[in-house]
Amino acid sequence: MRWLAWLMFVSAAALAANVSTAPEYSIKAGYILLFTRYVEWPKGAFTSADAPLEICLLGTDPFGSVLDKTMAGQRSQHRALNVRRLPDVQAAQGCHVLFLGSATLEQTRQWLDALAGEPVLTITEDPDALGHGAALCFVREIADGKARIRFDASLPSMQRAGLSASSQMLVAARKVHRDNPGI
Amino acid sequence: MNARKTTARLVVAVAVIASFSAVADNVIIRDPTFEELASLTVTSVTGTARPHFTSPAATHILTAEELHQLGLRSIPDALRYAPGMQVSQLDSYRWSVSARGFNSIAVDKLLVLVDGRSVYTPLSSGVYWEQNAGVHHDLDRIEVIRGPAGSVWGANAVNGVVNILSKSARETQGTALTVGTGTEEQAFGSFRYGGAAGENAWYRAYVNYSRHDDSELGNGRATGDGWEIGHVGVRYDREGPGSRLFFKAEAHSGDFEEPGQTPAPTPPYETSIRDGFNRGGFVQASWSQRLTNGAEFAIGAWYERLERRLQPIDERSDTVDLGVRYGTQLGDHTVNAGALYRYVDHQTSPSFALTFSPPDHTLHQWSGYLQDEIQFAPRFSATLGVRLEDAPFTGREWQPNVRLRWSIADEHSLWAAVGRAVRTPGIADESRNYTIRVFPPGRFGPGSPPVRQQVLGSPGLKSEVLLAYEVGWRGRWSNDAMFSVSAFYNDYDRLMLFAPQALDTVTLAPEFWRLPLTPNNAGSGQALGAEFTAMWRPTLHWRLFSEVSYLDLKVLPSEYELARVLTGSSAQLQASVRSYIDLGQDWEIGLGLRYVDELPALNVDSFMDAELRVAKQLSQGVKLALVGKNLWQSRHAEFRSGSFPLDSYIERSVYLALTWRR
Repeated sequence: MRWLAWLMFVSAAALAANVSTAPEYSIKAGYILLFTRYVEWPKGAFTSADAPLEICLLGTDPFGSVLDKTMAGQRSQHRALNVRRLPDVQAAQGCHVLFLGSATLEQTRQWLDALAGEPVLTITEDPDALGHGAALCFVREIADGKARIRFDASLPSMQRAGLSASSQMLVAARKVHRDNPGI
Repeated sequence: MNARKTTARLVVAVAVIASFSAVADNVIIRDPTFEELASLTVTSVTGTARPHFTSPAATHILTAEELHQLGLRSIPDALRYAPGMQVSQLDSYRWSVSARGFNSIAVDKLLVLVDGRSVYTPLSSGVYWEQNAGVHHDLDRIEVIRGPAGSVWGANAVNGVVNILSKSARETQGTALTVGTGTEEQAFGSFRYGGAAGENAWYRAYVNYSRHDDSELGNGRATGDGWEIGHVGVRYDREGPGSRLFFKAEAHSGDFEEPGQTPAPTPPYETSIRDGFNRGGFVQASWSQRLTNGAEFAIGAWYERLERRLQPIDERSDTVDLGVRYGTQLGDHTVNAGALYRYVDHQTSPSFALTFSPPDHTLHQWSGYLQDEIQFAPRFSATLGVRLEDAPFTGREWQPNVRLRWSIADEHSLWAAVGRAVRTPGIADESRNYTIRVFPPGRFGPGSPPVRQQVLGSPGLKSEVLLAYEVGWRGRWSNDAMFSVSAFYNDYDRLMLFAPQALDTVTLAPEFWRLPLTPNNAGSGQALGAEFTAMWRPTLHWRLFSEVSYLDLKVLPSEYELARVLTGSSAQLQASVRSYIDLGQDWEIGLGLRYVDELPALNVDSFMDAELRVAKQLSQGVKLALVGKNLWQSRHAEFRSGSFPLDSYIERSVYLALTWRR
């Protein structure tokens, strides 16, 4: 197997110039994996001590198989991870993480209203949704002509959902809304 | 946090990712930390989901992965799995590829683009598939748009557009080598190396070669149509903030055995054919820039040289194409506008069988288009487009198009469209003098000289016109199931047909008399059809696709032989199913099944056919594939025609291919 190591070394050298780049949704899938490890859900959110942690997608799915492959074989908080794609918001029962794919703000608001009070970590890509009950939002940070993916967090939204995020995660956020944004 | 340690970890992580991604095309980040994720820069805005159109049109995408996993090595073979497409293989290197009917030896109502470069010939408006057929390592996808797309793509996008797109050099880093051998594809190989060319810039260089065996004649003998072709090329991509630069250059050389006989002036009035060739190359560049107001500006150009001698044509051409495009958002309006100029210098060498008068043409062709997509209500949008074109022989042509879309739910949309498209006459329609055959002396009365049956051009031809009415429904349930249905009514007018003329005993006398066929615009036609596609992923490792097409085409007046042939030369019903199973890490199985209806006017029976590929990954990056093609029966015919009198059959075949990537 030594030749395999060489092979990897060679490709690492060839790619050293672009070592710090990755597709947008590969990065976002990585974030979602981390969120499942740094957010605490209320006990009642799980049907049993070893029930899997459900990661759900609603609306347009931009991930393809990347999300499934990122979660495959991983565990968070001693739970298996399960990825589900939802036909509508009513099917969100039992979801712990819910990614809301691109939609109009109006549509996103309807979904968030339907989820109000549920112990679901809602993630959107529209910063305005944080004021309407979304817990997290992916944002692009553009510096030196390069885009990086960060996230904003809304503590009031998380509190209403009964969730708490660890300080390590909040330190990594670009911005943490501690009150209702806009007020 | 120790920054150096983080970087070291990242290098290792991404190296592992890269060696996997070369195989899977998906980048998976293992064991991330918040610091690492926040430091990664985004390479792609689109993610890795299967691309799908949201445009209100009958569109279909075949991804390279879908083709590779069925072992399809030619674009025409791949297009058999696109709904609404008619593909008939005539012999080893000739295909009739058409959309929504008009299957013929020289299809002229389909526009084919390779990375945005039009590959139709100005001679006949057809496509020289032998030169563009190969499916190579770095193909990204084939987009098929059925129905008139003239308002955006220009003349000849009458019944459809096939857009063949290769991957950005960014996505083809590293080495890929394929070698293979088989019963029909006797030997093939391709090599690619991709590397970085500074920050945010990438290149690849590639070379490929294939050698193909003859098809088979009705009597079991070889047709005499073996061929070989090679390509060598480079591609360079650079992505800056809001900008993209793309450069591509390629050269090809192909040699072809030519089957059959060609007419001759002396007894026995036909002769065998010298071997043919197709050589050429192109350079292409494009640049796009996003402006500060969010608008986008793009400019592109290409130059292509072609030298080709394949019966009955002997030609050389130089083509220069320049295009600009501008797109912007104005309130609820998304406006796109563009202009195109094309210069063609085309030369032919006369032969007894075929001459053009004049033999050389210089064509100037310009066009401009404007398209406005209006979101006039949250769930309703309308697209208005128009293209004005100055065609070489017919002057100004208008091609308007109106499309409406209604998003009935988030993943379901209904659309309807009305459009006008034209097929402009080519050089051949204007100026050809083609002798199909020579009747020996005495056939037309005692003492008559040999008689040449000729197809002539006519300088007064007008464009063929299509008015198309389309509706469609596209829906999807998550990423695991999607479908689309479309139906259309096409109303053709001024179709080009050939009228037999009286025996001409003057023009070529005393050596010959002639029996000419001259083109006119007497034809009209109606086509009614529907297409259905579905994709279902029952499990993460199993995908199913299905395509069904129905077409009822009638060309009138039926006194014309060509009208009768066109009416009965497109399959009324076609259906296909594909299954892709990923059996764990090492094994893949791809199966395709197809049914094609009879072509009554061509005396071609309906047939079933199958493709099967079994591949095993021997070790990281090394894959061995065994592929069977046309498996259903030992051989079958797909096309016969009076102007292509060979009775050739496509045989069952297998090949073995080894791919090594790192």
